[in-house]
Amino acid sequence: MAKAIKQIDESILTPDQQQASDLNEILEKLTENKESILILLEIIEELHKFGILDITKGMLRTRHELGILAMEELDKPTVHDLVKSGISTFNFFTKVDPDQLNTLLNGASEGLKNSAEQSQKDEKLGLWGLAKSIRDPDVNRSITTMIHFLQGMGQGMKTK
Amino acid sequence: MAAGKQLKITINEEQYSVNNGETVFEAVRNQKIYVPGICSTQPDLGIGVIQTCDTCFIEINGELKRACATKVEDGMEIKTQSNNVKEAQHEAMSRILENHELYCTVCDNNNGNCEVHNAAEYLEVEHQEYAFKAKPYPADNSHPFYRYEPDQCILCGLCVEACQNLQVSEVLTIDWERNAPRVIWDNDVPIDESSCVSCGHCVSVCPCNALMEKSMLGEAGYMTGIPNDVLEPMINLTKEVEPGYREILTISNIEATMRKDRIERTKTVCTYCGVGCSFEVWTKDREILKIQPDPAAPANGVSTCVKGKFGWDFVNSEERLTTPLIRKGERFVEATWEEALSLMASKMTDIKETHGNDSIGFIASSKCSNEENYLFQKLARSVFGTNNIDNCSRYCQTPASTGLMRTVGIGGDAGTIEDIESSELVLVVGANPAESHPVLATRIKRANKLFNQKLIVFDLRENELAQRADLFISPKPGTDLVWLNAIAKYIIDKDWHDTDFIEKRVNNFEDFVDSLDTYTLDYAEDKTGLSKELLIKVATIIHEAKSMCALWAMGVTQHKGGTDTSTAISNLLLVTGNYGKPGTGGYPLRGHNNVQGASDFGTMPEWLPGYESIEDDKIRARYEEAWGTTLPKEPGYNNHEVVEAIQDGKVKAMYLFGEEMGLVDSNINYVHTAFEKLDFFVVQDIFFSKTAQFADVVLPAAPSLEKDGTFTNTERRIQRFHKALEPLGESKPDWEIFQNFANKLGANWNYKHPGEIMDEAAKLSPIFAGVSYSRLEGWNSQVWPVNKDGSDTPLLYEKEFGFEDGKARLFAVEWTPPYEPGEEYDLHLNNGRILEHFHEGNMTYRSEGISHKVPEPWLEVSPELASKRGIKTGALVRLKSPYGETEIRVWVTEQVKGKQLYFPMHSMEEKSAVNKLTSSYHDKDTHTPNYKEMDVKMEVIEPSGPSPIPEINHRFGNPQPQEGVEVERKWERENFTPIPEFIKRKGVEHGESDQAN
Repeated sequence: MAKAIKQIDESILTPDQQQASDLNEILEKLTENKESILILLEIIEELHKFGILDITKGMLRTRHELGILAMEELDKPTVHDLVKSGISTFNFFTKVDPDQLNTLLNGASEGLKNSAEQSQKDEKLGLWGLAKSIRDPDVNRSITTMIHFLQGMGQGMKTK
Repeated sequence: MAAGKQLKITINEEQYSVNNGETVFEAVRNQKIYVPGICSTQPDLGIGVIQTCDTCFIEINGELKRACATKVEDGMEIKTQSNNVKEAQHEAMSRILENHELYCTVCDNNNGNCEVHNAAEYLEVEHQEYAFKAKPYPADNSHPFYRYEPDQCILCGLCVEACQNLQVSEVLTIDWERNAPRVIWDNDVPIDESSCVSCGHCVSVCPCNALMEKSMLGEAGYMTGIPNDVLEPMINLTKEVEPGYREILTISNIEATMRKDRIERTKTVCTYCGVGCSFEVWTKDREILKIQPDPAAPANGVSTCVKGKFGWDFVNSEERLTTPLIRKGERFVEATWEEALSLMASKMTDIKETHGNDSIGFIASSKCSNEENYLFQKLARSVFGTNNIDNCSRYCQTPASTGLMRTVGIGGDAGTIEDIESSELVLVVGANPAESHPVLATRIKRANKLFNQKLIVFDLRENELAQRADLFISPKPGTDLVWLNAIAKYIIDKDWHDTDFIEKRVNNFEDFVDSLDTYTLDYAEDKTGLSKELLIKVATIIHEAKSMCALWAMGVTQHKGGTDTSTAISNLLLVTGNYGKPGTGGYPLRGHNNVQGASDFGTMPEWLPGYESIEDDKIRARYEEAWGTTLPKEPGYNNHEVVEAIQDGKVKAMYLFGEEMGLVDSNINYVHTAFEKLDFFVVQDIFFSKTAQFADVVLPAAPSLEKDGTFTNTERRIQRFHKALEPLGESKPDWEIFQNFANKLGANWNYKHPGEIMDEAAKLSPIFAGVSYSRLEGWNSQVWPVNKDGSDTPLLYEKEFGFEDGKARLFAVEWTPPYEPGEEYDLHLNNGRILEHFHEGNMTYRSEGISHKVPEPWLEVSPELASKRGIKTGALVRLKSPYGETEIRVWVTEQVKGKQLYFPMHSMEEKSAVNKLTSSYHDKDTHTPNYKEMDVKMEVIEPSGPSPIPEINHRFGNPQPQEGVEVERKWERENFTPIPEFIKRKGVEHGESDQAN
């Protein structure tokens, strides 16, 4: 003989009970992962000493404002150009053959060395000396390479 | 054109043989050669119908043509990689990107399935050919469930095609003539104020982020939740510095891949009606991000309705039951599972021992899984030794099943939705599929609109299908059997019946013909109120159609003669030879997601699983051996009888799950007094229902999204659903609860997964022999009967009917006049569902968006009656029947005629529950209540008041039917240059480009 009823007594946990049960759950997880938690604590300590935690906290708390500020700074033609140049440079390097670059840079480094040594002598080269030095096989190799480089560059500039 | 014939074509200089009748797009894609085709990404809408995106231009015999709109021909030469093709596709994509900003990484649609993203990536689009132009319209955020962002809209018109020609609600169009074309709703009103039925088709098919579920916005991506004032400059920065789109797309691909970690996609099956739509539910923790249908879904493809697409908020409702409750005096107290199950075990064992096995009744749920129903009947039969078990198909569909078992031998749909779609004539009797089976109705609306399918609707109320029908006919209430028999007689008298079919495949023809003597056209005209001419017209249309499907539902079954009328429909199909071939058959439309399955898996008093008689000693022995217990032989009480038996003091305890019997059974006052008489009552549900208020123990169950299992839809199709979320709180899947309870009573069951329950059922029941979870993976499904090798039976009766001699039986039936309570009750009370809500509404009213559209039920009153009683929309009236009274607000509508009222059943409050008015009379053969046979009187409480339906409801919209997206209007725009012409003008040279590979 049961009449329809709507009253439901919810056994609501007291705040203390709730807290105790939550704490238990957390402790369980902590002990399960003891090793990693201890390492994490050390890392946190170091980060705190270094002041990084404070900075991070500040950044996170003001993330919306910082976001606007950052975007204001970043969304400018100069930055656009900088990023574009950065990407272009990056793209440039991805297209270069590392062996070729190595040869070229080796040459450049030897050249630098040589020029430094020679420049100490403070020797002047006349027009005749210039013409004569072209016949030097080392100089000639450099100049030929340079000419080929200029040729290729010109072609590259034409297609773009 | 002979489909299936193979043609030889050349693609990129290699020979292929392809199917005749295919488009080039399909042929090429079938060979796994990728051609972009943004507007061809939805096969349900038809390849080559839309032609708006132009990304599929390829070279066919040297000419640039749309692959989607060109049929393959023998000897065709196709190039998909030539310079010309690349230029053309690039131009098409550039035009699209003029309408769409690529900020993929911060876009909620960046989930790996964005068609615009994928096409841009394939075409290696590097730069914006034409600058992106924002459209001069703000985003439309008015609708509760989705938003339209014109700025991102590429004008492909997939949404329009879906709305006009798949859902056929005809709300969306593209206004091609304005300066900046856009999609508009009705005649350009905010979405929320339009005739949009919120089915979600447009959102599901949108190839980008122009139409999106609001639940996705700011939720799907890692960076999409960033506030606008940071986000916009970020998009700008990205755009400014981008060296090309490739880098953007790479980063967005990485982000999309990362999203897989936070967004789960789980296949599930909808629980809102018997159509059995399957789709993926996307979840992030417990949050439901969206429902994503898939063209591969067998029953629905990309289709959904408002409930399936958007109605899942209830899962996270704060009102969910999360812990067992035990009645202590005048209140319920929370309990542990151990306490609740122990109490049940001791009380129910006591009652069983004191009053006998049959003093306990079991009510199963047609909303729960096959496995759960199987286990529940096993619990009743093998643990408690009673056949007092039934499910809610008793309230709706048992008469239809019985009518079919009498005539063709199997109580289920004769074929699948494909047959309904392909039939020449669809006859709908007493059903409102556009609201009760929305996705199935779309297939009929589509066939009627696009493929000349004829549609005849018999109903009291001019529902949506009736409005679209070639013939809408309203007979007097409760007289369907008369016109059905009269038409059968007329067809036979005219010699239009299928003599060959009848001779070879049907018994009892002579007796049946004799039984029709009374049903002359004159008699029918007198009883049904339909003219002889009209009846002859219907008979002629049936005769002329080469195939016919008959669909029916509660308008037929919920009568005193419900089984007989169902039988009469099946008789008419037999007489005209409309069984056993594609596009024919009888289709009782199952109302709940698992009405078919609950009955199939044995929660009925007289049947074991698979409709095998409990009284058959051999069959029973098979189960006794498997279960190791003895089983009772006599069929038990059905739902209706169990209420009577409680009233008579024979049944003392009841265990009910997943059924709001206290609101949806008829004559609920009588049901409530029965509940009060129970010594012990267990109710298991996801919410604290009206029924639960009478319980001694209330158990918290888990809904479909929180468990695994299968449902069987109206087609007899078994489909698997998977757990997407963990059960909330202490709630548990129903099958687990049954197992725990059975084990409390020493049953020692040990099912680890529902798949094991299905294995057991498949082993025991021949019609499920080959059903197994491994065969139901992904979008796979099985339509029973399923043979041991897994082959199934989408179309029944091709070779034989479900009787021993393989022949169908014409079954003579007589008309039972409907119940009439007396002259003072002067208005006819019709009742049923509406689109937006389900059952009593304990799931759908918890959706804020659905309640925004339909906050409460209403009473439909004809303008004629309203003016006679001096009432307007919003009036508050009291309805009285001999069984009770209700109060409800009025909607004056031409959908109902004269003295007929329509009262939706969706109320969680007793005051406005239609079943306060219905009686305990019932179908004479199956005890299904005669819900549809009641007259009432109406008293006006307030002649006017606030309308129960908000003005933003789709019923007050202004649909704009048109052929589809009407791309010709785009082509007529002055600034439109066809792509081939554009390429020609650009003067690209023919021949291959200089490529490295």
